[in-house]
Amino acid sequence: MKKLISILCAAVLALSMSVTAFAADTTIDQDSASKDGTMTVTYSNGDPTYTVTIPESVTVDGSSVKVTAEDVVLAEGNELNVTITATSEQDNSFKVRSNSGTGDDTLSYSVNSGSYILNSEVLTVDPASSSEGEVELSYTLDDGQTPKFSGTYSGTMTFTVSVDAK
Amino acid sequence: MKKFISIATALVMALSLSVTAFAAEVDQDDPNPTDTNTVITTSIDPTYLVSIPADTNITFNQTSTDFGKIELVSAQLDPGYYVQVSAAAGELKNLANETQTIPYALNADGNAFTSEKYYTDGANTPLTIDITQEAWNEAYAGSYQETITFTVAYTNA
Amino acid sequence: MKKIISIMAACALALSMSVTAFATEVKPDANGDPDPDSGNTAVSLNVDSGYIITIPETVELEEQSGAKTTYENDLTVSADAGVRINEGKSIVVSMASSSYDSGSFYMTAAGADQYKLAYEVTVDNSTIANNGTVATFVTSDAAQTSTLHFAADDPTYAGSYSDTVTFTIAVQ
Repeated sequence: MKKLISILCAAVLALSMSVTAFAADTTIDQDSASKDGTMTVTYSNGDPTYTVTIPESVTVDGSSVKVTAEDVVLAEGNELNVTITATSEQDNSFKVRSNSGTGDDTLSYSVNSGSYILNSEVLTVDPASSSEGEVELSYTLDDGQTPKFSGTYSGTMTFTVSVDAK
Repeated sequence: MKKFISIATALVMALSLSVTAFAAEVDQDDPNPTDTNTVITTSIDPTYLVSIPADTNITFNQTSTDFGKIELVSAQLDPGYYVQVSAAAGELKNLANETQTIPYALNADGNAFTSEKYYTDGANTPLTIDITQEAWNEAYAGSYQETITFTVAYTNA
Repeated sequence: MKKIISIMAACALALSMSVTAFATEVKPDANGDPDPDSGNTAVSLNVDSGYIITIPETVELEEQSGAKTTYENDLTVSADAGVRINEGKSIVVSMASSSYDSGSFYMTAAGADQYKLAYEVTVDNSTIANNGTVATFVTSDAAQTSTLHFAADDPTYAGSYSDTVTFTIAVQ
């Protein structure tokens, strides 16, 4: 008899030590109107990431440089764009200027990606398709020009990076 | 034919002697700065003009007669060069009888003149014809004449 | 070992001090926006200079008969068509002679120890002094020339006279 009581007491004690359900949890018993409980499962990877590399310099003699984007992770529905937005010329034309950019003579050039002549859009990376992208740009003097002066003709080209809705 | 050949040869020689003008070219591959030399030349041939005494008449019994002067009127001589004029005295000869003569001396400043060197414009030597009184006393009557030859040489010897 | 480390450190320092072209890296800022939002690429082209300047190696002065005898001639310094040099620069040709003294150049004749024949050089009627500029050429599609006039009076002595002048051609 004593042994049976001990076991019964241990069982009652064990039952009384069951985990208490907090407020977020759903408790269902014989009296619950709904016998269904839901649980939301979530995963968060943090802020967008990307690294876009814009070349420091290029020579206008058919030389090529690469604009690259890697580790592109964006919010759904966004894409990464790289565009040419300005040059050192007042009208943003593709020109290099004599006397290291301060002179009076200019030479116009074109920027090609393969057989395409680029004006502004350079690179688009849609992370839905790929987390990286690159474009090779070649810089060539336009035909029919003769430099007036010797020395260095120079200018700058500005690439702008943006994250935009697709 | 000879004359013709000579002319043709001269023509060929003249053509082959034509002056080729050489020039130095400096371009962008030469050091900056670059020097190049040019020779400036000019060649002046020597020239001179010598005046010798004109014909002179000698008065009877005159022991010394002014005979004008030798003068280097104008000259452009090579450095170290000079014009040398030589002359020699002789005898006046009787036009009717050449064996009858009157000796004379060609003098410059009282000394016998044989030659003189002239270096610059205007250099001159006054001359006299001197005949001694004894020579006059022994002279036959008549007209006498003599040609004095002045020899001019250009030398630096 | 210490020495090897020192050498390696010096090499590393030398390498790190060489000019390195850095590309622009654009990464997102705390808000996810590009930072920086743009980068510049320097675009350049080097153009070689080109010119040919010609100067005669000799000039002989010739007799000019007039009110007085003189010896004269012209010498032309020229630049071929298509001179191309750096913007703002010009090719300056100057002339000098060791004979120059007290405002005149001089020719001398063999055998004349003391005597010197003075001569004058003019360009567009302006007298040239020692080390003076006789020509200035600029970038141009056309050929360019400068004419130097040499003149000497009738010398005291006959003979063959000469002087050597040095032309200096400089882009400056």
